Amino acid sequence: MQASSGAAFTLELWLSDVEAVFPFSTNGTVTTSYKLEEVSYDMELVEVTPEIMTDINTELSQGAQIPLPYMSRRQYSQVVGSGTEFKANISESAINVNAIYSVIRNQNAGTSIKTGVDDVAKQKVNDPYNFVGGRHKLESGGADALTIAAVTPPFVKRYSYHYGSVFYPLQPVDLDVDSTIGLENIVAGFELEDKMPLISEQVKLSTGGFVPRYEAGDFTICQNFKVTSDPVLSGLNAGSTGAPIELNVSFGGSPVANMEFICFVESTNVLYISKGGASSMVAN
Amino acid sequence: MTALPKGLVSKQQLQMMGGIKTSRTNILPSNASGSYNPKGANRIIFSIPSFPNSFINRKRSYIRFKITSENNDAALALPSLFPFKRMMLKSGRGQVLEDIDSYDVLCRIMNNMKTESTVKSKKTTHKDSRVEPDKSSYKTVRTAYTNCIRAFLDRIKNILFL
Repeated sequence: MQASSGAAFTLELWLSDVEAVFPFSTNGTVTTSYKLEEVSYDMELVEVTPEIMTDINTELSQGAQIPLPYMSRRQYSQVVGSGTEFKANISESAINVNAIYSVIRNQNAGTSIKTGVDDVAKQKVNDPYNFVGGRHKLESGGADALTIAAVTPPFVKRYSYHYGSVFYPLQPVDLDVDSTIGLENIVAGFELEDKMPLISEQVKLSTGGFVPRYEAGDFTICQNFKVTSDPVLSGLNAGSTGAPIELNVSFGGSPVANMEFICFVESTNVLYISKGGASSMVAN
Repeated sequence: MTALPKGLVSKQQLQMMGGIKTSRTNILPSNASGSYNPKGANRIIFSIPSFPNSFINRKRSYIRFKITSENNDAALALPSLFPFKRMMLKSGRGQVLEDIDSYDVLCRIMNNMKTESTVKSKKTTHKDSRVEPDKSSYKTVRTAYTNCIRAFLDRIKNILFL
């Protein structure tokens, strides 16, 4: 990669607010800040011989290009209005969308520090990264114990992704009794049968019963668009019609209020390296 | 596991080319201030230089840091500790290759898609204590290694320096 500005790559990271990183305090004191020190990027390099690079440079100087496929993600967010129906228009024009990961959470998540969090149950209940959509809301029963709240939270009753004239999956996912079908859609769609994800595990309650993480804080609406998991371009061409990718969600349970929809679109691109180490996302 | 029949995949083992060697290096932030915090120096910039005849082995690379809460001995970190809310990756020409807001949310989703045993085993290095809850304070300096950051180069199959 050409280092025209003194760097082949530049990576910039912005720190999260203190409320999102240290959201709890075991006493009544609120944490005012945090700090990162001794930050470094430790990396390993593989160095090849000058003869190999000479061959590569010769090819490049004669007009050849080296394609470097890479995956990128883009984020979309939208306020979820009150009511029982929600429609998200995800404006993406990538030619090879691999997957979409969507979550719904409270708008005020990660904006305040919870004091008096003196056991792990309270950590779980007040986790700012708890997502909405499952059938259960957890409460702290004291002494590290979790219980299910009596009030049913707003939950996702049905969802479907839609692009052009095609639904993904091919018919809307009805979560009539519980969210198991949604979870199975993730496990099957992403071929996770042999490495079941954390969201499929269960949380133990003080009653001795269990509740799936997916139903209690880890609800996610994911769709894998790749036709096959082989490393070939087999995703969705989201630029073929100019229309956005739609996500339609129906809610049940308690009324929806102050919710935020966050979505990540994962797509595959190619970075082309050409003469002199110049880089471009367009093949010449 | 792939969908292609195994018979169609070549099993020929290529001979290793001579002269290839590895080396480790350590890149410090180009806007080094010694300490970063969310209310002041809240941006960390790594300017990754061009190394002659070299590739990054992204599987063996990571970002590390020490994180400490301030002014409160009773502070508890997020069980899935991840302190970055936005990530931007630019090429040498300044072209934005990736710019992700709510990067912390993305990392939480990606970690949720990993197995329980994987998340559990990350407690030591990545401070993810959701499977094995942790009530101890972060007033004491701890070292954390972040894999989600490492992923930014994972997603580029090969990084080639010329």
